[in-house]
Amino acid sequence: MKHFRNESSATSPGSAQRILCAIAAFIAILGLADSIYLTVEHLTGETVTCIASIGCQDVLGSAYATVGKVPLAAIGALGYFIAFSAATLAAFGSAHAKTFLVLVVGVMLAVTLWLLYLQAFVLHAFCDYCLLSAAFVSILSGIVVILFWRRASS
Amino acid sequence: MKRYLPFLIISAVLILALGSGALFYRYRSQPPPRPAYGKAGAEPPHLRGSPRASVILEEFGDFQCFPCSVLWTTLKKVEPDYGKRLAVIFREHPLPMHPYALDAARAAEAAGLQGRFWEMYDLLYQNHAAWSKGPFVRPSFRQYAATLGLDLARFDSDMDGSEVTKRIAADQVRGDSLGVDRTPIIFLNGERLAANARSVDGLHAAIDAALKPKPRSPTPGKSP
Repeated sequence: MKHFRNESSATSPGSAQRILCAIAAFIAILGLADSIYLTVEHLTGETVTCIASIGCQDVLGSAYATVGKVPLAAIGALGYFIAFSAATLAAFGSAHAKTFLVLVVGVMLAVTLWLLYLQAFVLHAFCDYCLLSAAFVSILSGIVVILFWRRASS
Repeated sequence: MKRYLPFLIISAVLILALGSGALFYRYRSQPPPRPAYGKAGAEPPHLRGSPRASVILEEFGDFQCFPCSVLWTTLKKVEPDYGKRLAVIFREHPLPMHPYALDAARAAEAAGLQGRFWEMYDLLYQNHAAWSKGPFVRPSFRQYAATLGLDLARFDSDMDGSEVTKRIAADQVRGDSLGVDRTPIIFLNGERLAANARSVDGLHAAIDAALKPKPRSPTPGKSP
């Protein structure tokens, strides 16, 4: 806490960075809601209703939807919560949190790309909620790239 | 205060996320308290086992739905443990979001008109992964009908016939009257089961509970 306070006073972020981090936090909350929905549907064994595609069940019922006995969506929810926390702390001026946000979003992007590959080339089916999550991670990645670029150029 | 604000926000979001997740889980786990009377379905129903069995499990299913195929596997494991004490009824409830579910229901009903409903039901779920992605499902169903030794000309005409349409519509009317809005939905002796009771252990527990003799309410003025 003390460390955060000192760091906060040392590096006060510009308003643009603050807004970017706040947007990242908001996107992470949307992703968290999406992941919680999928986790609950997985745990209760309910039929997820797809809106735009017909492959939800093929994707969410596949062997790739769990890691051991843990639903992948729950791991996603954890990832989004960590990203939210890092983005919130970064919005309040923590430089370490910003670096951590870059790392977390990098890992999330790698997992997302792998999941997209599985949907396109292994399962040959897409799930709306997974694509929505991929969109959230893409936006987060875009924000992180801008943050990284701004820091590098300053 | 400001230095605590990010931690307060993070804590609030964590509590909200966990709380809403728990509430949503609870909501999804509990079946709506609807009486399982309902309108009549197709008669006679597709019933496996004795109609006088102590426990009647009525499933509303969609052949294209993945959880239904999982339930098929579960029932295969559970049913032998109860022998004549358990009977299973299958009701058609093809969901509009599954483009091949209605054709699959038609195939099962058409096989049923030749006395081979349950064999087609097994084949449809057994080969779920093969046909459910479409788009040309009818040749697959015809192949299953041939495997079962059905009269293929009759099977073809029955698939689009009015008898099959009526049976599916009647089952759907019954499902709608019982509040079936997704699949699979199970009623055990008229009581709707929660979705998380569809595992092998969950079904065993529910069937065992239904088999337990219910305590009689004492009747005043009568000796036991």
